[in-house]
Amino acid sequence: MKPLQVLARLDWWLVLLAATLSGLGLLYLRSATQTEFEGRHLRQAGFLALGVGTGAILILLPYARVLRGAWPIYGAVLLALVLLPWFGADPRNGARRWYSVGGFSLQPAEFAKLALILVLASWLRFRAKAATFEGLVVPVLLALVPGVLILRQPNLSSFLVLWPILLAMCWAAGTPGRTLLGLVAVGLAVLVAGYFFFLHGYQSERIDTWLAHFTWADWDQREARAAFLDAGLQPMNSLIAIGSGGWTGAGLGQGPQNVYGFLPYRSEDYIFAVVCEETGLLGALTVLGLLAGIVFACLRAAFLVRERFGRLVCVGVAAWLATQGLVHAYVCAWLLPSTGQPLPLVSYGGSAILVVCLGLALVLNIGARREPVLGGEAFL
Amino acid sequence: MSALQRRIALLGVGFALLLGVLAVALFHQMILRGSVYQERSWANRWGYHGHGAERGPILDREGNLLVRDDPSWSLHIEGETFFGQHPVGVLVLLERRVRAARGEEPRARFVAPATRPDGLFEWLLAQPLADTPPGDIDREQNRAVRAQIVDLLVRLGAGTRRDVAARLIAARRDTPSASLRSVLRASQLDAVRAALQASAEELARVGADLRLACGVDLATHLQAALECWGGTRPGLNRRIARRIPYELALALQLRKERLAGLLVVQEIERRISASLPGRPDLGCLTRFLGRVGQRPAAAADAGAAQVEDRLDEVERELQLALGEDGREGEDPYAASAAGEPDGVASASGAEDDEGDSDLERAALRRARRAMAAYFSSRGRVGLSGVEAAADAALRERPGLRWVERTRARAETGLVGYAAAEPGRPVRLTVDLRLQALVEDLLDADPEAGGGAVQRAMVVAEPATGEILALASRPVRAEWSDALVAPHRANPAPGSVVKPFVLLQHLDAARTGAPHVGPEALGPCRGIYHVPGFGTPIRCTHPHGEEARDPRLALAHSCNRYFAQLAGGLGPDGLRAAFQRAGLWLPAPGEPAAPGTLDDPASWRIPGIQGLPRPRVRLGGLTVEQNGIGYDMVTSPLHVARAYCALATGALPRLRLIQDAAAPAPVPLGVPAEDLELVRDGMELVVTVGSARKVRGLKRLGVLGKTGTAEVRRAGEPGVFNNAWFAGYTTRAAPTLVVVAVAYGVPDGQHGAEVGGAMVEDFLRRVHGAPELRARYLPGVP
Repeated sequence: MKPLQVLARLDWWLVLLAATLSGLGLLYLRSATQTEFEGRHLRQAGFLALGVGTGAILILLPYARVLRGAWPIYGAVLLALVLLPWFGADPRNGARRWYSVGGFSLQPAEFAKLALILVLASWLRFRAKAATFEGLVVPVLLALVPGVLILRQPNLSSFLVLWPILLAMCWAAGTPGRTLLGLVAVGLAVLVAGYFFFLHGYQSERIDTWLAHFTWADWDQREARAAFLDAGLQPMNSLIAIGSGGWTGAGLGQGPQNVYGFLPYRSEDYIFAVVCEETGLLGALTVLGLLAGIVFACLRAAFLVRERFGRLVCVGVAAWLATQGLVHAYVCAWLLPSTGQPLPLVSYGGSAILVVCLGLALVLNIGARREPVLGGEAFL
Repeated sequence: MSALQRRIALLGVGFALLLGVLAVALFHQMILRGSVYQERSWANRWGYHGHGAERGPILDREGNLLVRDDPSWSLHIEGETFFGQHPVGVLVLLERRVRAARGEEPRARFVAPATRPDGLFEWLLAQPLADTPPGDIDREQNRAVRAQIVDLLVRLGAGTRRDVAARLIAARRDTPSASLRSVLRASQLDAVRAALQASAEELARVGADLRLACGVDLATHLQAALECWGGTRPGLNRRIARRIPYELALALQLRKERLAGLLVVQEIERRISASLPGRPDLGCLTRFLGRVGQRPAAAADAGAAQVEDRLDEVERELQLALGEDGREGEDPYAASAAGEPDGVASASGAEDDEGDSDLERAALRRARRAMAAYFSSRGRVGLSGVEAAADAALRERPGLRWVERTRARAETGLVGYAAAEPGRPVRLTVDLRLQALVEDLLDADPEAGGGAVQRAMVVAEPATGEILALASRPVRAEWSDALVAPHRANPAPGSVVKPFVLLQHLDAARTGAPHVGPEALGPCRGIYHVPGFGTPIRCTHPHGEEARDPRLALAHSCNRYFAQLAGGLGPDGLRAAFQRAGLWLPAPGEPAAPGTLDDPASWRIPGIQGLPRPRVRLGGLTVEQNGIGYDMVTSPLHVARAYCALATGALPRLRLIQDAAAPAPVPLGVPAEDLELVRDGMELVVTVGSARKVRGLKRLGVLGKTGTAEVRRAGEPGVFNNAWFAGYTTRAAPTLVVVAVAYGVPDGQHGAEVGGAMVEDFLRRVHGAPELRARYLPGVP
C-alpha cells in the first residue's frame, strides 16, 4: 500500500485519542514536577516526539516485516535483559533496570512487553497451537523467560503485566476457557507462594498493609497512623489526593498533595492521583475515558482485522495498555497493593512512552492494512 | 460475529467492567467520602503551632521590677535519637550491639579514652558479613542490627535505603565470608569516610564550644547516655546544659539536622531580677512571691476553666480568619447538623458551604487539640504566693499560628492567627526601701531581745490596708508560716489587744450592754483575783488610782483594769470586741455578735494565703485572761490590721497586691469620742506609760501599745515573754502602722524595750532617709 493510502485508512480516532491523552499527560506531568524534577515534561515531550517519529515510520512499513522480525526482536530484548546486571546503569533504589544511553535511560523491560506481544502473536497465530494445555507451554515459557529476568532486577510490576497479556492473547487465539482458568489457578498459586517465600521485606509489607487497611475503622487508630509513616505512606497520601479532588479538583498545578510534596513518585507511579486531585472526578473520568477509547480502538482493530497475527498483536497491545492503565489507577485508589505501574502516555518514562507509541503505531498499521497477509483461519 | 470476534468483544466487556468498578470506587472516594479526604488533606499540610508569651512581671509599689520571665536555652541529649540517627552515635551503638551479640565486651567509648570514630568505622567495615550480626541471635535483634547498619551507611551517603538494604542482602547471600566493606562500592568508600569524619569533627566542635561556654563536657554525658541504653528513659534523655548562650543555641539550632539527638530547648524561667537595697536578694519577700509551675491536671480547677476559655477564644479568632466571604460574625455552629465527616453535605455544589463548615469545624477541632496539647506541655500557673493569688492577671494567654506547610515542614502560608497576649504586670504594695530597712533591722542584732526564737515586723498603710513591708526571722522554708506565732503552748498577743477591749467597754456603757460599772473598778494593787479562778492576774507593779482612769490604765497596761473590763463584758462582749477589730472569726453558722463586723471574707487577705484564722478560745482560760491577750492565736498581720482601724476608724482589708477594686474599709462603728479616748491612752503609752523609756517613739509621733505575754518555750524550763509593740504615726495624719514582735524573749524583757525598740529603730531609719521621710513621715519634724 502506498503511504497515502495507509494514512487514509488510519484510525484517526485512535490517533486523536492518543494525542489528546499524551497532551494531557504532558500537562499533568508539568504540574507534578513543578516543585522538583523540573523539566521532566520537556524530556517526556522529547521522547513523545521520538515515539511519534519512529511510530510514523513503523506505520508506513508493512507489518509483515514486523512479524518476520518478532523473534529477532524478542531475542534482542532477552539479550538486553540478560546483560543488564553487567552493562546496566548503576542500581537505583536497589534495582538495576536501565541502560544508560547517551544521557538517557532505556528500560529493556518496557521493550520486553512489546517483544512478548509480537512473539506470542507469531506463535499463537496458528490456532491449533492454542487449543491444548500442552500447547500453552511454549507461550508460558515465552512469557516466563523474560519474566524471570525482569523479576531478578527486581521489577515485580513489569513481571506481573506480562501475564494478562499472555492470558488475553491466548484467549483471543482461541484457548479454551477452562485451560486458561487452569493457567490462572497456577499463576495464583505461584503468587501466593511468592508472597510467603520470595518477596522482599518491603514488598510483603506493602501487601500486608494493603490487606490490613480494609479492617481499619478509621485512620486515627494506632495501626493506621503507624502505617501512614511506613508502608502506607504512598497509598494513603494517594488516597487523600484522590479523595480530596471532588468533582472538579483543585486546579492544575494547585493540588496541595502534589505541590507540597506529600505524594511521592507523583510523576511516575502516582500521576493518576495528581489527575484526580487537580482536575477532580471529571478529569479522572476524562483520562480513563481516553485510555478506554484507546483500548477499545485497539480491540476494534483486532475485531475488524481478519489476519491472525495482526489481530493478536492488537489484542496484546490492548491488554497491555488496559492492564497498565487499570493497575496504575487501582493502585492509586489503593484497590490493589502498591506496585510501580506507569499510566500509559501520562506517567513519566522515556522507554515506556516510546514503546507505547510503537505499540499504537503497530495497531494503526494493522488497522490500516486490514488485509489477509498471512494465515487467516486455522492453518491446518 | 465469529467465535474469535466474540472473544475479543468479551475482552472489551471485561475491561469495561473493571473500568466501571474503578469509576464507582472513584465516585465513592471522591464524592461520597470526599470531605473525609479533604479533611485529611488539610490535616496533612496544616500545622498548628502554639506560641506563648511572657508571663506578667511583678513590680513593687514604685514600679521596680521584682520578678519576670527570663527566656533561656538549654541543651538536651535525646539518647534514642542520637544513637539512632547521628552517624557517630549509630556507629558506637552498633559496635556495642555487634559485640554483645558475639558475647564480647563493648569497647567504643566517648571518654577515657575516647574511641576515634574513623577507627571504629574501619573496624566495622572489616567485620565479616556472616558474623555481623551472628546468625544465632534472635530474629528481632538480628533485624535491628542489620537495620542499623543500613541506617548508618545511608546517613553517610552510601545510597538510598532500599539500595543499601538490597546490596547488604545480596552480599550476605552471595559472599557471606566477605567483609561489610563489600556492601560499599569502591567509588563510595572515600566519600563515606569523609562524611563520617565531617560528622565526628562537627560533634567535637560542638563539644568544645559547650566546654568553653558552659563548662559542660559533652563526651561525658554521651557516655552516660550510652551506658543507659536499654535501661530507663530518664538516663537516656537528659538535660546537659542550662542557659547556654544565645549564639551557641542559634548555631546548634541551625545545624540541628546534622546534630541529631542534640536538642536545643527554649525554657522560660521565672526569675527574681531585683534585690533589696544593700542586700543580694529580696529577703522574706521572696517567700511571698511564690512559685510558678505546670498546671495541675485536675480538671475542675479554675486554671482548667481559664484554659477552656482561651481555647474558645482562639477558636473564634481562627473562625473569623476563615470568614472571608461574609461568614464573619455568623455563628459557625448554626450551620447544618450532624458533623458526620462523611456526610453527603459536600456532594453537590449547592451545599458546599455546609460541607465547608463541617471541614472547618474539623480543622478547628484539630487546632483546639493542638492548643490544648500546647497548654498541657507548657501551660504555667502560679502555684503559691503572689504568683497564685494574682495568676489571673499574670498568666499569659498563648496564641496559635495556623500554617500551611509542605511535607518537608517548610511553611508556605499563614491560614489563621490568634495572637498571644502577655500577662499583665502586677504591682505589690510593698515598698522595697521599707522592706530593706525591716530586713536589715531584723538582721542587725540576731540576739536582739536576749536571743529571741523568732522576730517579725509588719509595716502597713492605715488608710488602705496596703502592706508596705513584712519580714521575719528566721526565714522559713515555707513562707506561709513565716509570720505565725510559733508557740503552740500558749499563743499570746498580750496587751496589744487592750485598746479593743476598752473600745467595747465604752460602747457597752453607752448602749447598756453588760459591762463593769465605774463603781466596781477598784484601785490596782498589783494583783487581781479572778472569781472562781485560782491563779491571780498580776500587774508589773501596783497602779493605784490610775487604774480607774481608762487612759492611764491603757497607758500603764493595767492588767487588773482590763481583766475587770473583760469580766464585765463577758464572753459575748469580748467576742464582739475582738470581732470588731478583725481578731475573731465567727464559725460557720455562728451568729455574729450584735453590733460587730461580720465579714468572713475579710480574713482572706489577697495575695497571702495560709494564714491561720485568729480565734479566742474561750473556755480554756477565763474571760479575764482573754481580755489581757492570752489564749488567742493571732499574727502581726492581724494586729497591724486592727491598729489600722484604730488609726483611721475603719477596718481595711490588708493587701499585698495593689487592687483598684479593693473594698472600702469598714467603719468600726464606734463614736469618735470613744476612739479619741483610746488614742489618748495610746499616746500616753509612749509619754508616761509602758513605753516611755523608748524616747524615740514620742519624738516620732507614735501612738501605740506594748504587749508582754508570759509564755513557755517547748522543751525549756522557765517562763519567757512574747514582746510586742503595735502602733502608728502620726495621730493627726496616720501614714504608717508598725507592728513588731519578738517571740520567747527571756523573762524580764518586755514589749517596750524589745518590740518598741524595734519600731523606734525602724522609724528612725525612715526619718533619716529624706525621700522616705517626705513620703511616709511628712508630719514628723
